[in-house]
Amino acid sequence: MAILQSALQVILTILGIILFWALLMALLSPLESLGWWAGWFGDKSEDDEIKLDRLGSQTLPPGKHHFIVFLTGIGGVRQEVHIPEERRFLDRLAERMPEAVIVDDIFPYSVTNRALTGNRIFSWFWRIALRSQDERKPLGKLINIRNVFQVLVASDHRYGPMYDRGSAEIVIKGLLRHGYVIGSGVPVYVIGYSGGGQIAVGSAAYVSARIKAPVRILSLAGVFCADPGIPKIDRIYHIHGRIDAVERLGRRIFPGRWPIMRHSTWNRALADGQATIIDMGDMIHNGPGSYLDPDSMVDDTHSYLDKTVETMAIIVTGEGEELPVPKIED
Amino acid sequence: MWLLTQVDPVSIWAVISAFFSRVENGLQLLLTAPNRDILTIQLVALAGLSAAIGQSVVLFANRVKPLRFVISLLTAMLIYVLSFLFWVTIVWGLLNWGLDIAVDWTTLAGAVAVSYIPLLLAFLGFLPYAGQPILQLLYVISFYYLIIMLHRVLAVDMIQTVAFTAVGLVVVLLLQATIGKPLGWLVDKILEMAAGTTLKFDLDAAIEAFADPDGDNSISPSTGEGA
Repeated sequence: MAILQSALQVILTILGIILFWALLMALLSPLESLGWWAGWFGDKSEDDEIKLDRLGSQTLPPGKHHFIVFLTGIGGVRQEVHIPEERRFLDRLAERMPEAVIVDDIFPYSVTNRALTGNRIFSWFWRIALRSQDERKPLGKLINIRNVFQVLVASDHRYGPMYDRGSAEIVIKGLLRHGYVIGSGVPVYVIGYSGGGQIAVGSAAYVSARIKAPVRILSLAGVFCADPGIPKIDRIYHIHGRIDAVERLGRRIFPGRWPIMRHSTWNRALADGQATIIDMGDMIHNGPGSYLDPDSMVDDTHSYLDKTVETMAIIVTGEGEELPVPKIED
Repeated sequence: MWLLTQVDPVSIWAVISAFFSRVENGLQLLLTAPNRDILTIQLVALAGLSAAIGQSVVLFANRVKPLRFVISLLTAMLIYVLSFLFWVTIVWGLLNWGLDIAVDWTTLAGAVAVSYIPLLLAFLGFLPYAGQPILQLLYVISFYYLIIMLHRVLAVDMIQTVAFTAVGLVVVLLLQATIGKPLGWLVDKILEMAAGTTLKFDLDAAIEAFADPDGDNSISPSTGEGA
């Protein structure tokens, strides 16, 4: 009995420490974007060599007609896409749309585009977490938790306008790095995967105003609120699977996404045809059976990943093959 | 038991922990403490500091510098205490002379201060997404405890307590809209002096002022000094 009590005490202590740590992490989470806004960390971000107002006359990269920005899911730690599933998806997307420029060097969970493993006080900790993530150990989930808090910061009506402006700036700088010409009028497609959906939706209005071109959102199982900037977005395509619990959670936790909130920006966008929901059948959020799974098949020759890539290609280029949606038999 | 006075000074943590074990215990401990005046001020000051942290987004939005940020929080705390003293005095006067309910000023102040204990958690208002509703909930809880505390110290029944609280609230709101206006202006000016910049208390207005200082559709904040 005494051993059981001691064990219970240890478990409760550990739970208490975890809860305290999570609370502390949540409390500190708005500081990066608010501090950036307030100029506490200087006025420079990591990719500040590109000045938005110093734009010479440029032409678009030859043979490129489309610009696609990829905003990684909550597992991201740095600008380069390092998660194998996401990397494979982007390679396939580039293969499928060779005429598209894919901007894939943005870390959307930092308004300064600063990697967790970059120039930070706790970069050593995030390097350990990244190693754990690579080895699929539980510690790696701390990265997801940290990034979820950033999604919450972006969706907070007080912090969101500051966070979104920071995100917009790093998206624009990403576009410029990849040869986008402001004023060219070329539409920009922003893929917001999972939590990246909130960053995409939140920043789109500011990006659009700045580049003077339409911004279209490809929300790949995006988790996002009924952001006040939605009416200023050209189009939103919300791609989701029927059995994706994470995407469903996103629809539940943000009241503006509830169907009964008919006057929310999201529901108005749906009613006006500005937002379109694309059903991907029985896909889950990540891992086997997910949107990025190259092994699960929708028919004899096409995988779930093919289905996702093809769906996006049809939206961007207007051409492609409509693949069947997967159905898991009971 | 209720009226017995403690001999040794009581710490603020003892009052808080007594409050969380049983609300009335917190009130009893504070009112019977020899250092109850200090405890009252300490509780209100801590609640004020916590509330200032919870609502500090305004300072960030106005691009207040780090040292000024700290000074602003401390100033907000001081203003919170002064406001408390002012409004408690108004309500005390109303009770004694308007409603003919005899109550000791320090007892009333102590009871109101104990109802502020939930607001010690007001710093949670800084939490992303959930912060604002948590803060609102804390204010509701604090108001609920205010009624409970007044019920205990005014020695009237609950319906009368609620009625008195409602009347007190109306009077405070009326005064805020009249003589409180210049005081509010003064408070704003003091906060601006502490912040070292003109403060826009409307978040959107503050953000817009910095994002678009020259009307050039800028996104990130201006690097210029002040608003």
